[in-house]
Amino acid sequence: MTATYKLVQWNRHKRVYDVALTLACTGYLATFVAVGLAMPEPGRTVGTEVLAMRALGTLAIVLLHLILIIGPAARLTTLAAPLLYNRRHLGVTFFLVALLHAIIALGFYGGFGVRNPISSVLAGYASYGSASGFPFEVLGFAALLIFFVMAATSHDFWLAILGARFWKTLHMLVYVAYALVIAHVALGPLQSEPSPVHGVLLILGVVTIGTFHIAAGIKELRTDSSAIDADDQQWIDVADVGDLDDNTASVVCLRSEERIALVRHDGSISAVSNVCAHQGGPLGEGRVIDGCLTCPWHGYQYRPADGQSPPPYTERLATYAVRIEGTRVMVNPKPNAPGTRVEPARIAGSKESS
Amino acid sequence: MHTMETVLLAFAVYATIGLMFAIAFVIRGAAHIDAAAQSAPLRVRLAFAPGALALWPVLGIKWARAGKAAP
Amino acid sequence: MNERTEQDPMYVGYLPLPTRHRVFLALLIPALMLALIGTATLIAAGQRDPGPAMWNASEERAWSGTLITTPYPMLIEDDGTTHLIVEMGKRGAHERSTLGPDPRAAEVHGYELRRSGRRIIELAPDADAITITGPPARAHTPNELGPGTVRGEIVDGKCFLGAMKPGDGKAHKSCAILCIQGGLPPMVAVRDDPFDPTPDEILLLLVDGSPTLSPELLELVASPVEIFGTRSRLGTLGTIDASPNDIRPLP
Repeated sequence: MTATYKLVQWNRHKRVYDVALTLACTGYLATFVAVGLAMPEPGRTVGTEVLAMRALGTLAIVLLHLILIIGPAARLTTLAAPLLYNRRHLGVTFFLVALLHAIIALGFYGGFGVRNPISSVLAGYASYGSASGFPFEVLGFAALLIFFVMAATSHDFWLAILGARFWKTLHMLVYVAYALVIAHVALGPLQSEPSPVHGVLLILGVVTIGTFHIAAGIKELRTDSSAIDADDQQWIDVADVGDLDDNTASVVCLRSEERIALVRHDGSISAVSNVCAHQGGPLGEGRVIDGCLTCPWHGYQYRPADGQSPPPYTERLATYAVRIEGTRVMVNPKPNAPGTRVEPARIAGSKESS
Repeated sequence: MHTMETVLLAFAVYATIGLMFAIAFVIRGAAHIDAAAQSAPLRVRLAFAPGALALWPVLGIKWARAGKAAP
Repeated sequence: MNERTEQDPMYVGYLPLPTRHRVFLALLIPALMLALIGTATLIAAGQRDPGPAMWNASEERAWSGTLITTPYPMLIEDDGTTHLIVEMGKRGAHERSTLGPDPRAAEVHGYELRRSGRRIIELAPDADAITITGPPARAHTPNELGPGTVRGEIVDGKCFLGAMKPGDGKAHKSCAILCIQGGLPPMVAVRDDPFDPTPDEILLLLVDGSPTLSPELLELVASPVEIFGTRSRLGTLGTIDASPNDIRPLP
């Protein structure tokens, strides 16, 4: 839980991110409309309302791909961290673009008639057994509902009151929604487009997302495969002091799938849970900044000794007992209650900074 | 066609209840469940309304529990 | 022990951007922008040709000729040029009080929709968009051409002739159904290639003599179909009259 809530915790980075995002979206839409109004020949072009619907729909799909690539990309390289940091704004922008697409479709395809627009678009026909008769609009609507819930609960307030686990599960539904979107396109507009361009681009998109996730998954598996067995040991040998750099954290994987972040700071070593209390970011890949272990995802901070965020923040992590034998770092794998202070293990010969 | 109409009607009912719940949630519920929301300005709490509309059954339970826990 | 982090500065959102991230983003952002513009161009340029449909919604015009109401409201000019008559929005003109049962001379005001020789008049919104000017100048009887089979797509005439571009295909299916339910003319775009922007013919579809489709037949709108029926010609308008069992979906 945070001290209080703001609509957006603005900083320079988020502003630059949003400007770039707005430019990208505008550039895409302008290009699409300009090309659409010139093809196949002036006076015989796709109608403006259909053009707008398609420009927004395809932009939404492009943005969705970007959103889904950022997660695994950030696991593969820390260079992608700036893209992850403000992904929330990308997500909300994506939702608004998709919503506009749906509103135009509903208005033009469902409006001006003798039935309620929603019912005529979503319940106008229902040959679920055939590709040409499958009501693809229903798939888009279902995906949009999921995206709505995700966009509506993207604020940290929701993370706090729903709990990280529920929130994360809710936001994992993005993969279900992604599948619905792909089916929405494949059983919808793709059925009446003779050009192979659209189908090929869609397949390329699915393959790219798959590749990024598989690559990130392999990296995670490698990390897990070096896990340390801690089943019946009270103290486990996790590292050599010489391998730990000052003001840096490292991840220790236990066979129990638990992960611990080892922090070397101020001539001592502390151990806290590797899972950030905010969104589960990997604290062991973070650094010590201003005396606090800082999460590489969104910059949440914790004091290494007690796992507590400095006031006025109230996040807390589980801590672990640490001791040094010779040059080996030993950790007791039994977690202490979040926020429990543990005396950091002092490295022989090192000096405490004043 | 008939099935889909029924599903849509169910959605409409769910969203209508959600809308009423969201208003109450913005005014009182949010601060009741999460102390940090007490000091949040109205426009921030208004941003919680769409989420409350969507997840009202979950929030309703949390609100009721928070009410029991309070003295 | 693993996952040693490099000693380069870590990226934190609220702190200044480290150099290596700055360089990476300076390359990535322009590349992403170019990719976006390239994707937009590819997708937009790859769109299907919507066909030579025309809706002159900005210029109100007047036509005169013989007004008939069966099988569908239409105006046949003296030279035989035939216009189907519809209302604004997704509605047919059946409810116009000026439409009597018998053929009469009339003047009609509205907006023109046209595609491949097929014509529709969208009536102006005012009550006197149709003015009866006298008895019929000439009687019109359908010229029966005999039985025949056509393949193509059932569309709603108004969208296909220019109200929506494209006014056919899967994405337009719910709209076409709504249009036909509202009394707009069901028509058959006769073509072997479902993507051909210039169909061989655009025929008014009648089911046992009527331009209304049952819910079962509405499901077949905007999908490839084969229709066996009696073909006729009324003025310049071609029609096909089939019984429900003779309208079949194609795989």
